[in-house]
Amino acid sequence: MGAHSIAHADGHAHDVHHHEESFVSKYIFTHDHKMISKQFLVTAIFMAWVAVIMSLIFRLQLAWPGEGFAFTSFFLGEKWAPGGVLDPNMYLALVTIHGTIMVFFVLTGGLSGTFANLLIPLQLGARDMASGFINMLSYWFFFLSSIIMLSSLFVEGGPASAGWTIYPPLSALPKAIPGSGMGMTLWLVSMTLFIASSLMGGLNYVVTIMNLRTKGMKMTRMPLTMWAILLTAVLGILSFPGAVERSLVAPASTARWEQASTSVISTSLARHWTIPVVVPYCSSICSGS
Amino acid sequence: MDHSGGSPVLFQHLFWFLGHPEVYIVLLPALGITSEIISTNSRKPIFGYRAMIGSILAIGFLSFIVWGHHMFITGMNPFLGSVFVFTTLLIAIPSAVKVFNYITTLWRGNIVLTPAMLFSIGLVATFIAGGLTGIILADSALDINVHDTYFVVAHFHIVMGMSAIFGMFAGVYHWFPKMYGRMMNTKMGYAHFWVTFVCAFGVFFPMHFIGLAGAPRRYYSYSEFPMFDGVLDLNILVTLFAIVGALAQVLFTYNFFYSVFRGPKAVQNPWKSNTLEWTTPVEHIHGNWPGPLPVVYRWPYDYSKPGKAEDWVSQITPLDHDEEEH
Repeated sequence: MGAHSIAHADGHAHDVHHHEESFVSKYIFTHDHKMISKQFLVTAIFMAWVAVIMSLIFRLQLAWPGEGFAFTSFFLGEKWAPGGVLDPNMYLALVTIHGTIMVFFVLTGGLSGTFANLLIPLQLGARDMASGFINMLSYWFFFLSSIIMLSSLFVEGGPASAGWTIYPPLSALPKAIPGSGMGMTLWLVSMTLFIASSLMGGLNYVVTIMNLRTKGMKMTRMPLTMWAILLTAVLGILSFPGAVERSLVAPASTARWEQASTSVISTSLARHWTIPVVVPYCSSICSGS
Repeated sequence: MDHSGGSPVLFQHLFWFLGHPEVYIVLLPALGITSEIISTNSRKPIFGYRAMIGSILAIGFLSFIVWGHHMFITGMNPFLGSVFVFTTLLIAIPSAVKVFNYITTLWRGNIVLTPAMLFSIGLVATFIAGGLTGIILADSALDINVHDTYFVVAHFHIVMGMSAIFGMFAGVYHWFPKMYGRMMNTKMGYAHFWVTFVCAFGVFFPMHFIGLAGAPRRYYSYSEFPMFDGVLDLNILVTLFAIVGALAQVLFTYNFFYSVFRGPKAVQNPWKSNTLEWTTPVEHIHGNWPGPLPVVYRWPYDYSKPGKAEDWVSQITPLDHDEEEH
């Protein structure tokens, strides 16, 4: 049985002979959901390798504590691994960034970003996501947050070291441990961008699933992948704004920005950005306006 | 709260209000992928379609009212703790429904063991193994004994980490032909699965015992504490499995990138699957379908339907005049 060519009753034949795209518009700043899914996947594979290498370094320390390894020295250099022996502060940093990358950049951004983007239009019979532009922004926010998270590995005090849960006081007091300074600040900036990326992706997923199903694709005819992705997006939309609040307000409310007035600004950012911007955007695209 | 202090416990509440739904943000897509792959490769309809949807909805709702189980030792009122114990244990019900439905879908199926199918079955195994220790950790009376130990590390790496990773691998192997128009190497896929599967349990299973011995997580070295001398050998074993498991991912990475450029060309529907994505051309085109959008006439799980010539029926195939949908 081949693929049946059954026409959508009120559909329109799609012009496949569209204009030639440039390299940049086709592979870099693309609006095409299939290419964006590949971008998420390849970025996630790269980030996964960073996390795996980190885990191997701290596993070597746990198995043979205090012994030097060329592998450790190769990746961390003399500063963080003198004689190939992992520095205790860097141990905490590696555990923290390993968890952060795996939870957020591989299993959240990588998994949902890849398969939601690939499958939603294809399994529901849509030409693309509801907003190709927002979809593109979602990936590039994800990419930028990945770069910032990786850049925190190279700052003087090392990356965030408070665990992936970044509990205060290690996340709140900039001088608590070496990773509490610029590394922690970069972690917070990175995660805020990541959350923005997730919100843009999630809103797009929900709107596409609710509004762009082809004729005959009732909710009860959707594959379970679609149900899972729909609920995942809803969970993200409901819970991630709380995480923005947490990222911006809680550590910011102590000594991170050093001045109380800055905390007021970040509180305002969280309250006046997430609620008046995100909520009307959601309602407007849900209503199709 | 003034602008100069803050409450670490409030921070934990905010964190885990995201943090626990995050577990399901990670898991649900993997479970959705698994549902699709297990049904396709068992050549059977998914068992309990509506129950699966109900389970997803229930998990989504419950995930917002269980966060306190991460905070049993913060000094919360024991009565409040018992509420979180109750809500957390409730989540085992829809989770068990999903596991039951996966197994009953597999039961007496005409199983095709593709690498994607192996990873999906692997997900069911890790979801069970990690879910069982979740029941222990949900109970505050037990949790406070192993809180912040390697027992917790073992639990969440198996139930959340490995399950989601296995789902992701399954998805990559299954939809690779749709993404790149080429096939991945199957033999390398099998080797990748078996080494990863064995090493996953080799790494995380012993961690339960390290945790039960009382070893806290995030310690730089355990050799300074005589009471943890017994876990040193286990730590070596864990690390050896981790190294071998990492090498298996080299194989996957090679297979992935080699196949992107040099893999054999894929046919339109290599897995004989019912869903719409397999009705699009192999070559990617703008707008996905060259002509009008397809029209859907049936659910996506009409596998081995009695009276049909083949063991799959695409969603775009109209119902026969005397055929019931499902």
